[in-house]
Amino acid sequence: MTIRTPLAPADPAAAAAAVVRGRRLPGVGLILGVLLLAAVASILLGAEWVPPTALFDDGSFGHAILENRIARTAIAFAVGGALALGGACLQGLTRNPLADPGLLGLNAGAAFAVVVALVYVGATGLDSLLWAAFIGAALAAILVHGIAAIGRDGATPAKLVLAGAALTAALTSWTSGILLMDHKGLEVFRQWQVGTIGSDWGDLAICAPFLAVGAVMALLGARVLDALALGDDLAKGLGRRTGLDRVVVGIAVVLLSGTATALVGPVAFVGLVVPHAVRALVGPSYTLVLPLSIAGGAALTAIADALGRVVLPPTEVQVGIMTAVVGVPAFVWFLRRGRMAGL
Amino acid sequence: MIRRSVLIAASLVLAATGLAACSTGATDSADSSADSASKADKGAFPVTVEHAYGSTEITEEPTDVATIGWSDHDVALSLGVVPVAAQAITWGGNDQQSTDWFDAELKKVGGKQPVRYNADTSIPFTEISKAAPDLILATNSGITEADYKKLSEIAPTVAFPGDPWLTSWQDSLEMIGKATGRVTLSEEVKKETEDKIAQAQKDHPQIVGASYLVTGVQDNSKLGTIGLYGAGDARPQMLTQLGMELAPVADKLVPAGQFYTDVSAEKAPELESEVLINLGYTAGSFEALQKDKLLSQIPAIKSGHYLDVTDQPLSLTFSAASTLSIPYFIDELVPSIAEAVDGGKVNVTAAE
Repeated sequence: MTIRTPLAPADPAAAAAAVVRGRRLPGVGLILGVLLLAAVASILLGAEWVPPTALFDDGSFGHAILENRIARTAIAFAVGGALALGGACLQGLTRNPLADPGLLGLNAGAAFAVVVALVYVGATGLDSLLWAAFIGAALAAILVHGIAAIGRDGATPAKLVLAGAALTAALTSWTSGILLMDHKGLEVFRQWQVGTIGSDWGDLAICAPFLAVGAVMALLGARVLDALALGDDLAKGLGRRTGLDRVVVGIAVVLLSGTATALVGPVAFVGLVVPHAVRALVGPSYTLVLPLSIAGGAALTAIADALGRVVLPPTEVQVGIMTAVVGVPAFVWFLRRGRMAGL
Repeated sequence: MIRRSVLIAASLVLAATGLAACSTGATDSADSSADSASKADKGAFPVTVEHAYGSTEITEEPTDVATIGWSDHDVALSLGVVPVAAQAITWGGNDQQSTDWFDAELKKVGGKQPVRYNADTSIPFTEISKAAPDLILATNSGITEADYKKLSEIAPTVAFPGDPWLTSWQDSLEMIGKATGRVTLSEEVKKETEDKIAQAQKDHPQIVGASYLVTGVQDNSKLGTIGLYGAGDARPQMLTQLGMELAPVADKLVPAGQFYTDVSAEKAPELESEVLINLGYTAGSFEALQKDKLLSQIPAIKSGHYLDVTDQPLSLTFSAASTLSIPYFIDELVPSIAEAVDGGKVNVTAAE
């Protein structure tokens, strides 16, 4: 997983691009096809069958339902894309195949900050909770990196994961402790905690700038991640300042996962599963993995949300639960096919 | 609520203890058993009370009663039994972890505020045993069989008769009346409560026969689903006793054996009823319901026949209806329900 072969191409991105023209094309096509399917499914599926023509029937209930589903699809796309992109970055950054925002304490940090805002600051509106979750995720990331960096060999992948797990454990019990003492906060938090996709364009608008900046920073980091995949020594040999590179991509991850988590609550598996699936389809180059992870994450989340609307009528199953239901079998399938590509 | 003789007895005790009983926890001089010692029926003991986990024999009149559950302390107090320890009311309670109706009655009978313990997530066995009760009442609670066995080691315990948390006030009253030897008094209290309900029907004839639904908004920012209460739940049970009729769609959507379900907002037009009573978590839920593109299509919201209750204590008056809370429910909430039936969009928010 670290230094693979001295024969690795000096510029993996260019090599990958060459490969795309050949056998990687079907993989790209498949992911984009699934994305399109997800958009259609997310707009058509729901507790009630609504013909797509209702969209032109202004003022009808069908029209209201379709509008609602389109907003939900947009939010699912934004959240899923951000989580998968953040997950792919983290996996590259830490060179740990299990890395995702949940494992490194970001979700726990966001959740803790939300609870503190709910209970002690008296925040109830989503716009203030967004900030809380975002700040919590950022502080958790800094703390985890700070703890992991203690010692001579710096923030190694293993130390990052250990620090993340330790911080998650501590923050989770503090969160539970506060909630046990405050029931009103618990009611609001419970709903947020399972991950629910709303249908408010305003919520999305508040988050969009953060997501956009995070996505641009992450995508610009593709070459950095490709270089890091060769190992720090080789990356330095290629002229990369690995410490600074890590900070830039790290900030992108905090922006992406913190904002996505704030928007719908912690959603598991998307950040973990999607990058692996994408890698299995198009190979390890981050120039391809990062943008296609956005598409894959958007598709998985939208499909999970759509299925959540129809599996247990008359109720809806929250997306945080459905991504696990849909994501885990997909993950196992990839593992069994033995196509889990290296990082 | 309480017989005149009880009040007289209580005031005598109050006088005897130099009013110390009024101030909570100031002194120990108001022995809670003193004011209720003579209300038991002659020859009431020993008595056996049947419940979901078997039968419990109580050999002599209990003096130190501990309660667990939503309404057991209310029912006991309405029979003049001041619990020595009771479950803390964390949702909808006041600063004393009690309710205003309990405190008002406590003042009337002149007792000491019970020791309050939090039994929301688990049964606080240590604290209950510290109170050294000689009877534990849990007729409207969710105790498990294992809890029941442990509690029985502390004192004779009376569990719920059928399903956890779904005991009617009448069943609670009957069981607690029997367990404390106050069958005659419990029948009188029952009659008074029923009279109060009958009077409410006379005062607000429009509610009789009106079809209703009770919903709960989960969160005012994400209205993908709306909670719907079924016939088994305490809230619809109380409204049905009031003479209202649960709309048939509730039976259709809430699965058998469940008292609550989340309904997709896309089903809003199906939630047909004459009046909708929503229990909102925050004051903003009222506006959120009206503004939401889907939920505003619920027929009763569309026609403007709805009531939004975000005041937790008021919500509790019929979520955990008891012989003490029902008069509050009727005085404070029923007029608003009647107004909603007439077509007013009523918003009952917290007083603070």
